[in-house]
Amino acid sequence: MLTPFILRQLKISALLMPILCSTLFGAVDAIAQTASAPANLVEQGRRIYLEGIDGTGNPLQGVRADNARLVGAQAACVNCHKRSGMGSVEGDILIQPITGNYLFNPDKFQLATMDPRTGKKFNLTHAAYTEESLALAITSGVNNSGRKMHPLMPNYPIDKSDMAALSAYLKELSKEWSPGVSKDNIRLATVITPEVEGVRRKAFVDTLQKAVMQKNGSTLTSQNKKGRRHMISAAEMVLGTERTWTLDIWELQGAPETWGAQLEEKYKAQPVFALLSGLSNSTWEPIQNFCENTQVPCWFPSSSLPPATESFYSLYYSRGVNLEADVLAKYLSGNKKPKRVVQIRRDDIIANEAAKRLNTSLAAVGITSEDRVFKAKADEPISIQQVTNGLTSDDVTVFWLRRTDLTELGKSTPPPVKAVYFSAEMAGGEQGIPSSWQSITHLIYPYELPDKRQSNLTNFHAWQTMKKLPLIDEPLQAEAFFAVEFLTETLAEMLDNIYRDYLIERSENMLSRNEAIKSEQQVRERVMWSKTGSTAKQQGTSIYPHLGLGVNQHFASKGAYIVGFTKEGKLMADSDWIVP
Amino acid sequence: MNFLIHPLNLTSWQTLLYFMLCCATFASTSLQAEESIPAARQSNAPAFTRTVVSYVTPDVSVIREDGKRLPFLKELDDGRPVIMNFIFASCSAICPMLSHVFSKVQTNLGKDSEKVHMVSISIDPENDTPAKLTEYAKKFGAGPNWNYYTGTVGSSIAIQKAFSAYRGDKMNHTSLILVRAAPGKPWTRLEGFVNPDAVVNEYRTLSKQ
Ligand code: HEC
Repeated sequence: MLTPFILRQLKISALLMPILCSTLFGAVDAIAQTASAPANLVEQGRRIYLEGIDGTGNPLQGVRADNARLVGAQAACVNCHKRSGMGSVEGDILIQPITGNYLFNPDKFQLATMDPRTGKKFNLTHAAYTEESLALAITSGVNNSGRKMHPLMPNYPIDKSDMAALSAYLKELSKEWSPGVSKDNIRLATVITPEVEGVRRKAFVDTLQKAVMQKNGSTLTSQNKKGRRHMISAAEMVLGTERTWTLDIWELQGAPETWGAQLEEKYKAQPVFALLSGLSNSTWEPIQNFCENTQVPCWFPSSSLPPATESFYSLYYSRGVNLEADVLAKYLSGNKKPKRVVQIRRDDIIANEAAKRLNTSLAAVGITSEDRVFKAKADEPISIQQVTNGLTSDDVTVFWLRRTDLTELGKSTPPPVKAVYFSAEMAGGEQGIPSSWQSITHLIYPYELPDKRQSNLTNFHAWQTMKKLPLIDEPLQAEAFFAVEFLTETLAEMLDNIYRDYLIERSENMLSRNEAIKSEQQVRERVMWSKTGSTAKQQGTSIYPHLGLGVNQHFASKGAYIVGFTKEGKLMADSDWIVP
Repeated sequence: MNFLIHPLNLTSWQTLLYFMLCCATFASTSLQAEESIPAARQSNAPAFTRTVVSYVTPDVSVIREDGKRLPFLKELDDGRPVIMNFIFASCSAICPMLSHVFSKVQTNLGKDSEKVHMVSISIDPENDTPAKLTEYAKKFGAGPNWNYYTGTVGSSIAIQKAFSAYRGDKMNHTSLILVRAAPGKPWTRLEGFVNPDAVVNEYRTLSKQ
């Protein structure tokens, strides 16, 4: 069955042949056996590489081909070669991996994808660097094949001590697979915080476990010779770098203050490579802190309250309710400014933060706001009468409530106000909005609008139906599914270089591109295999209109719509996509 | 995980066949990527290319780094000579270089920098808010005649497409500087590793014509 698709893959393998042969008959061990350098020398190298500070404590100096001087942090190697040392691709410029493995042990056939999807570009091969040829490359920009390198690579007039330090650091950099990784398996965990409703917890765990099982089923390993290939990358297939996953479920207990210690304990008992997805109705800060301190990637959790400070190891779908608050403030500050906004909520950490944020953003645009809090305890139903006192048709109300509370609201008539806003993030989409409230109801809606969304999620829905997974919470389940898919694809392109920093760097670089290419591919394949399902245009594979990351850009979706309901109860957009 | 769509089920012997096929056909080729480096990356080749092209400025609205929403047409066609590039704030290797070059251009223009409009268009508009661009501009010492523009994804793409600068994704962007003497005149397109002197020379030559 040589479809054009497979032919393309074969062409790619052509480039890989020498690697294949060497892998089949040579050593596969990717770990360099070098004696470790003294710690202070490595530390000196680390400062040069990451911070741009030389051995004497002065700013590192780099000179580019156009004589432009780069000083200090600007000159640091990390800007281009990245934390992992695995380099990157920007436009048509290949920035080579420069870890010890790549520089000094090229005979081990260290291979890195440098331009995924075109399937052609890998890191350039070269003879093993020596200390001398490395010094020449760094001081004069001539590589060990004698070629003058790309003018983007600066020359660094550094002394012998700094050179030795750099070399020592590079030898330690991404030297071995990260913890949680073995030759054919990657261990992952997903974190669930204690206050999550049972129904959502089950829907989440079922979705995640089935998706991981599916991934493992299609992974070809020595145990699973009948693996149904997912065919992400021909290089991966030829090199046999695919790995199965083990997924641990880490259920946290008690108060958020104790979560950090619980996570550390679980990690100590069984280290994982990364946290995959995750679910919480509370603060995510202790989990992000754990990830940052332990240097474990925190991969797209379904959290409505990521900390405002971005961190290197955590990637999120969006800023959650903080984003919603900003979007609503921007929307309300438009032409029909309301006299007063009344925010109504339970005393719960997410709602409290959302209201705080909206108060601040409303104040900034000159709108008065007032807070009202239900007295009900967490396990008691709310009663609308407690909070509607004095509301008039001039008021706009914002309810920061979860779906379970919306059902309760539906039992009463809506208050006599101009408009009611709900958070789709907290309510899990539009499903729970009581129909008797729809005529005055609007939602802050961080997701793609239903029509386009159905087309973007065609594959997810087909899968979920095939797996007989009931759709309990579409945003949540679609997010969990996406997290598994995107991790599968990113890891596949990393080949045998399973380092945590590299995972983050690759996803920063690849997410938006991957989404565009994958959408196109899914539409094409739907036509090709004429599976039932729409062949409508597709703009992504997640529940969000588009996703993108970058360096220090770890919230993938950046806006929201304001939506309302038609007379027939269908969702309609009241606004364009608003990016605050 | 494209399990839904690929009805491929390679058993181990099929995989072996696949390998053998590769070996048999291509065993004589070797991976000599060093030799296939495009000429432009060799040191003796010119670092950049220069072409002269006419473009139609798209009629979209943009947001300047000071937060003002403005018609792009008016911003670009206000009569001043324009030097333009495309950047995004979270790009760590090429963009600092491009912005560095712009910064040098601003300095090297001397008095003329007051006459020229320097324009930096964000190709990551949702992330590059006016506040982020202001901060970025400060980092490179942008003066009053060097503006940064953001907007919607749609408007940014429209501008990139209008100037043949659209590469499908921010991570695919390449180094490009455009120079124009006045509205209605053609643009000079400098692509590749452009040095500041070349940009200033281009401006001086154009403004003499
Ligand atoms: C502004 C971006 C940039 C910075 C900063 C940078 N490099 Fe590079 N480096 C490059 C590029 C681009 C290449 C590839 C050049 C080529 O192959 O033509 C490269 C190549 C190299 C190579 C050759 C790799 C090979 O496979 O032959 C070494 C070694 C290297 N860099 C070391 C360093 C060190 C050490 C630092 C910090 C002291 C550093 N670089 C900082 C961009 C950069």
